[in-house]
Amino acid sequence: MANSIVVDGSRMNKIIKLDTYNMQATCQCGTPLQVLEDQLRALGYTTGHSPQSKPLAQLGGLVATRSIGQFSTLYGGIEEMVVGLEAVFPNGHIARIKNVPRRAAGPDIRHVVIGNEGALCFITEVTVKIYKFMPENNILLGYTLDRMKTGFEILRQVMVNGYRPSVARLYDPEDADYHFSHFSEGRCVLIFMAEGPKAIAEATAAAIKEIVARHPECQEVDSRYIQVWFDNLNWDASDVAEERAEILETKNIGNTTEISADWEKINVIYEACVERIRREVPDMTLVGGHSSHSYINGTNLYFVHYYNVVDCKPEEELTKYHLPIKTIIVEETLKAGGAICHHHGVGKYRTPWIDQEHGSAYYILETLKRAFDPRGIMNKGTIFKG
Amino acid sequence: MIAMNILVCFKVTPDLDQLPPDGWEVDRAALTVETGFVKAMINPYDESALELALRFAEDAPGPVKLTALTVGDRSADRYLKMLYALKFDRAVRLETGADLRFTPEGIAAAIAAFVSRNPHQLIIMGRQSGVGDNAATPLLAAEKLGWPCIAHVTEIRSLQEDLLKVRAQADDGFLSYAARPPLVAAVGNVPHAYLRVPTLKERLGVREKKVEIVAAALPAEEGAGCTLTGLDVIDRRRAGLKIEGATPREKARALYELYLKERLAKL
Amino acid sequence: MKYTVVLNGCSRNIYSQAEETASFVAENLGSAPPGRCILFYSDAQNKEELIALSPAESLLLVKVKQRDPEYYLSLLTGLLQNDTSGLYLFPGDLCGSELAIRLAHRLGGSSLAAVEKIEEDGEELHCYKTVYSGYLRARLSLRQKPYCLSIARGRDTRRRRKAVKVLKFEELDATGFEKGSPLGEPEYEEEANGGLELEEAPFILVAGQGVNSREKITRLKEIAAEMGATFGVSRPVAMSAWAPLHILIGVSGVIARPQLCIAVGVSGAAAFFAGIEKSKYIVAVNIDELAPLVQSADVVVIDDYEAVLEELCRLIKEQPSLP
Repeated sequence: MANSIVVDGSRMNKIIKLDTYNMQATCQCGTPLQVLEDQLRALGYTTGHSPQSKPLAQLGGLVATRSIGQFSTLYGGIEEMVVGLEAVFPNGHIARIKNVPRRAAGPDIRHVVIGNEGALCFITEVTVKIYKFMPENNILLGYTLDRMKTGFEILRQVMVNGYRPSVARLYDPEDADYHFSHFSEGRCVLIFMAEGPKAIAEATAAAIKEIVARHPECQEVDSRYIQVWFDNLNWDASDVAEERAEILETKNIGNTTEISADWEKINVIYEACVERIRREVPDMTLVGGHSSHSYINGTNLYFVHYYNVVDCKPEEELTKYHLPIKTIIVEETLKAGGAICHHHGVGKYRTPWIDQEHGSAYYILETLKRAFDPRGIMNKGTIFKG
Repeated sequence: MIAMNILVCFKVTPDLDQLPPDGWEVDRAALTVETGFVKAMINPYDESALELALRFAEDAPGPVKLTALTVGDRSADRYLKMLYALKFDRAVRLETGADLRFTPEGIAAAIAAFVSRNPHQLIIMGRQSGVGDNAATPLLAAEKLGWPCIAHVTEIRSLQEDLLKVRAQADDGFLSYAARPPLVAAVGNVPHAYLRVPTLKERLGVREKKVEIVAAALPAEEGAGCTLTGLDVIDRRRAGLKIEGATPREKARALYELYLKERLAKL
Repeated sequence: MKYTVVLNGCSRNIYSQAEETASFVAENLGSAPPGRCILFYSDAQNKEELIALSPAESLLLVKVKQRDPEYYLSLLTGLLQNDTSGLYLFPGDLCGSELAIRLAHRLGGSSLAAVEKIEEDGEELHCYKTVYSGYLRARLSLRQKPYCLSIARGRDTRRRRKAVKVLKFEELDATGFEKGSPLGEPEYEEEANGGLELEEAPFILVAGQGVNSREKITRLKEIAAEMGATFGVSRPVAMSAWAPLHILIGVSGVIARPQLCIAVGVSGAAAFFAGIEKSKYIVAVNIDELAPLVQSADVVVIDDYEAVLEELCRLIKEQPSLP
């Protein structure tokens, strides 16, 4: 980070307009999502966007990282929510994309900005769609089952048959044991939440029950387990601090890597990665994962990997554990034709694989970089190899 | 050299902080609160006891055998299996089917009975656990066994063969003992005592090991115990007035001017 | 019912021991016949001062040469063999709470720790105490005498009570007593880090895990001193060894009862809150609006604590009449 300036937009935190007739909210980039969401909920609305970073994340960053939230299976990722925006380009040009519901006036230029991770421009203002907030209609469903393959098939059937629960999550036994040991009994866990207008929530829940019933290995779980889990989903500053203390003491540290793939490939990638990490990387204490964002044509996989740091200087941890794990996951995902970054963004650590990820289409991405940031001053080393 | 047998008693308890404020509903007939839907954990003081025992075994001059014991239902089994992976020699659960919340006498008697059948030289356990908050089990276990007991232990290690160094918190300082077994150590607040995490290989290595389950009624308390005759939620809510301000400094000023200045003057 | 209060005069917290037991007696045993106090003390102490602390009209002052619980336990067991008290009361500190439980067993009675209130009801004694990590209050009934209870800490002793005049005074020199336990005499190390002051302090500043480094904790301790507040920490902070154990506030540590408490970066689970709930006025400073403490505080600042506290400290220091 030598010879760098960090531009911090967090003081540009004004909520400019909450338009509940046109269903749009406009804020400056430094507006914390929690603040926007709290104000909307007080009026009976929601952004529908609920990443775990909600208490800390700001609108500009959420757009720049192509973020996704816990209810995305219904509301979509940030790309579905953004209406218009304003961004500043490296040459000083201020571009304002106006708020319209949809248009075909050339390619959708918002997608140049959404997900650029500060490598092409700096976002200063964002308008997102808003939705009616109807939590009273939420229906939570939970099941345990034996096999991930069955779980993926159930997720697929729910999506393919036209249902959009806001939460659809499938945990493998290791990851399930970490979160749900009080009821998972060493099995996989499947969780759904149906949300929205009453009739739709009820129809969605009924359909899910019917689909699950076709797989006799599934056992229903008291929804109160799921309710408690849901209520405790997000962490406050205290929880983060406690985790940090625990990590320092036990020298046991965990991290996550998220990828996506179509229905056919997802279980193949899951099994290959879990098997290889367990076999090839030393001192692992937990290797597992869950799917948490589904689409009609596939789903994501969120690998969770914990290890004890043994006989290892801090600077060596990267090469002894971190990179080998990432490399395995990236390799298996690329081999199967999945995407190596589902929603955490490229950052710096997946930049080495960015051209493999895009293949011949990398040309489009790198041309954008050359066009907007010829001198390479923007977030060097992020997305594009520095 | 004969092995030193160390018994660590632990309790699995629900993570009560996970219950939302409106989740605290007392069943008046049964005098219980539903805590089954909340994730469980090892009682934090017992967690320190387990970790202290593992460190003791690592540093001891002679051989040490570690036994983990819990009185409870099968929700404790996954923790017992995990303790095998951490190299505990025995992992035992006493299945009593009883309501164990306010029965430290009975639990202490069960522990004493176990020790009389399975000789141990050192018993380590947490000083209290978060549902009953009885803060009595280790003390009563020592009394029933007729053993010395050191409460509020913060440190325990081998000084030399058959001599233990034990440090305990007192109300206005610390007490350091050179103690000979047998001994009951009740563990209090111990800095830096999170339980270590077993690796997958370690867990795989003990996959076939079974938890020892002993079914037996909880010993009767012969009148010395207590009976639960009432249970109520405590309402701790206060006004929670939020201070407004554009910046932290503005808020500090508002807080001071409106609410603290006068109060501080009166102190 | 005849009662006896047992106090450990060797410990520097003897004043709060005496106040708490006196307050408990006044509120729960007002109509009982006057009770007795047994008070241990050592050579180093001022007898007259200790006599003035007695919460009972009858006082037995016992001179001891050792200061560990097992020693007191053996001594008490011997002393009380023929005693007819139905109730033995101990302060709820570390020593008292251990003695109550163990003594009950040796005397063939029953015990409870951290009792807030009692009601005699024929052959039963109903005791009220908090359970479930401080979320609930239980009524637990004992049947077997003698009842040995340790008192819940944090009693409101501000209300004036009549000073008790000792009418019957006895002394016993037990310095030759052998405790008859295989446990040798421990070495005692005094704690000078402010734990005792915290219990009595009228103004406290408490740091929780939101203050997420040793350096920041140290800085807050300085700010506390500059503001004229006594410093305490929540359990996670003490467990990281960023502050000494004796200033840990909560169910397993100090129960404070200040006029004013400022809690900074504390999420406020019940086990912690039990340590500050007797405060007359609670200010919470936290970045997270959903932290439980926000509901249980009188006034709340939702923001990053550092800037708020530095400014608050400056304002307090500027104030002409600093306490």
